[in-house]
Amino acid sequence: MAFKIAGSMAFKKGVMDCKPTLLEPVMLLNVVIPSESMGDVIGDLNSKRGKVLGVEADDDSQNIRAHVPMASLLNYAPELRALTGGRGEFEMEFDHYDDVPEHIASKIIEEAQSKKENKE
Amino acid sequence: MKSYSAEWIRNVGLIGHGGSGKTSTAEAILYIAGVSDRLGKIGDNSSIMDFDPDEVKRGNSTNASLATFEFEKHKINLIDTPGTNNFVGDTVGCIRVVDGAVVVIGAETGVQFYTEKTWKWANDQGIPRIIFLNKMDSEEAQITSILDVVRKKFSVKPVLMDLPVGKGAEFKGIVDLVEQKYFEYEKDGKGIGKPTDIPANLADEVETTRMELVEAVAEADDVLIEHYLETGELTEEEFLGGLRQGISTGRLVPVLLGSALHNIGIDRLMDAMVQYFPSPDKRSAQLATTLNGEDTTEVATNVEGPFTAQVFKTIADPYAGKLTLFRVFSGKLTGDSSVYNVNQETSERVGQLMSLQGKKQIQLPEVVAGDIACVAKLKVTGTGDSLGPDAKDAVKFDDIPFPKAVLARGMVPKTRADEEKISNALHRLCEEDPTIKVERDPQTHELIVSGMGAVHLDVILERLKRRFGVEVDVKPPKVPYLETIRKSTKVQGKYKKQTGGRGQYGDCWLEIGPIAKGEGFQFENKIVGGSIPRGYVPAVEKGVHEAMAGGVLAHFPMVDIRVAVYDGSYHDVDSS
Repeated sequence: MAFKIAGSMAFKKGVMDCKPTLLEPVMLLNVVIPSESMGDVIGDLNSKRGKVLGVEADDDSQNIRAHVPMASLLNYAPELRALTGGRGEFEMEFDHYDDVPEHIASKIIEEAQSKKENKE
Repeated sequence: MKSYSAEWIRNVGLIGHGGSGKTSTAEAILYIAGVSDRLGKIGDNSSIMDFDPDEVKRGNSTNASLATFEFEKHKINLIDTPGTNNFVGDTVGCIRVVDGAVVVIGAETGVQFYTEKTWKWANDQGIPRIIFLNKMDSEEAQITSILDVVRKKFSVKPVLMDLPVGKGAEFKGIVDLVEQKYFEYEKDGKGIGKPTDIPANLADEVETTRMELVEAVAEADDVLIEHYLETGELTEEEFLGGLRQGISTGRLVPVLLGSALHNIGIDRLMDAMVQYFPSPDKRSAQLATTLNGEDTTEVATNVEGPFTAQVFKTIADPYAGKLTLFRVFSGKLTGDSSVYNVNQETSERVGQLMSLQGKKQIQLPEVVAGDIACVAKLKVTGTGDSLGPDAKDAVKFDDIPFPKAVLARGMVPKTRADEEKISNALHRLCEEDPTIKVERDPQTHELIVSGMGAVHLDVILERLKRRFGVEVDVKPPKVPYLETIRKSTKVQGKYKKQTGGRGQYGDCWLEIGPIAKGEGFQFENKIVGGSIPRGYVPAVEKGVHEAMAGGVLAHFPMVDIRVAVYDGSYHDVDSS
């Protein structure tokens, strides 16, 4: 019991010196849209911190593959419908974890801490 | 209702964009067929097809509905589908089991995005199509511009079968280009057109449009075109044969006109369903897999073969319980028997066989190859499952290509009682609707329900409440953040409590550092010389592990960290 507490204390103390970093889930997003919506959809992906991996044209539709943080995609179904007049379709799956950029991480940390204080 | 053999059956789906009038068209059809004694209106309780409280409240379809009726010696199984992304599962299921689809397009709005989507699904499954241009009574009604869009977007040849008589509110009838007769309708009447002479001022237009029609049909077939070029005409038989063939190959799409709301042109649409759409036995064989999972087999519509069927829809009926709707692809099924469910690998008792007219049930003595029917109270059978006679002769049909859920929400039951009921309730809803996905996030432990859109999720919530008495709070799903570290350090942790009696003493030195992404957690014992006895090391590891569950930044789990314990001290009595 005492060694468990000692181990836990040591770890919590030590981690503070190890540059703790927040990670977020990043999705692999596959969007199929009519060509005329291309500009709007790419612009939106950029504003969502997405990284476009590739675009393939097929007849008059475009297939975009991108890495996008999950946090930006929680409402993507209605958003994409609005951007494409209902014609856009997408699928996504978890791809990897990545560092959360500093300015966004600080907001998430602040939120988590205020939640914790509210609980206490 | 008596049993019909396949050649006398038509399975027809109504598909298209929301608001184009699919359900109104179905209501008018059922009125003409004598199923209803007045024309049902959407958004009140008079509608046969939109009977679900969700649909009455919203004024649009949230479910596919089946209505079976007899018309001109045929039995027609009519499936009305919802016109939105949110309830796409029912449309995809319907397209699997029909042999013809009426694509309803509002003449005032033209082709809309959901028209395009449903068209594509029907095209992918090789389902013959007829276009019904509804709302010809609208002042904004268009024909030519819509057909141009159809031609361009869908790469098919739409052929106009009708010409309208009267524009906007004056729309009162249709010139049938095939029969070369004018059918005049009583507005909001019984829906039966009265044949009269073609108005003189339309004679020229009728002539040219009819030529286009005959030419288009002739072009669909090499033999026909030869004959047509020789004689300049087609016999009635040749014309109908060519048209049917053009439709079944998807090259020709007949376009009919009408107004469902005022019951104009609907009787002719019904004729077209019987005349133009193939009967189930004319449909090409369905692909299936044998039960060993290795061999592909083709199932033709043959009543002599073993019974095979696929479930395309499950309805929760407040009185009858669960209703399972299926299409029989071969063989036949009689009531009070049993079937083998291929997907669930178990047999099910089958009671009374029925068909439906909206929510009304009609008893059937048997269901033969090509027909659509339903049965109540199957225990484990869900939408998409294949049914067979027994484990020996059953086959598995290809899965119905239901799209994946796209919108996820976290659900928190409001009370303890809700919590106990929710998983059973969601399980039942998933059985009915394969576009609902339920999972528990392994990290945040949140219950995540996903669906096809915000309206779909709203309907799920309403069903949870109305049918199962379960209330939940809904919010966007929690993002499962993690924490890690980027640098290494060495640190001491010392826990000492020695104030009389049995004390506590533990002291360790740890090396903490990052490891490669995805490696999780590694722990190493590097103690030399017994500065901590071996028996205490697992406790150190456990302490570290517990600390990692809630990181220092925002209390998210920590990953990709290596910890080694390399030194420390202990007390003979107080350490544990």
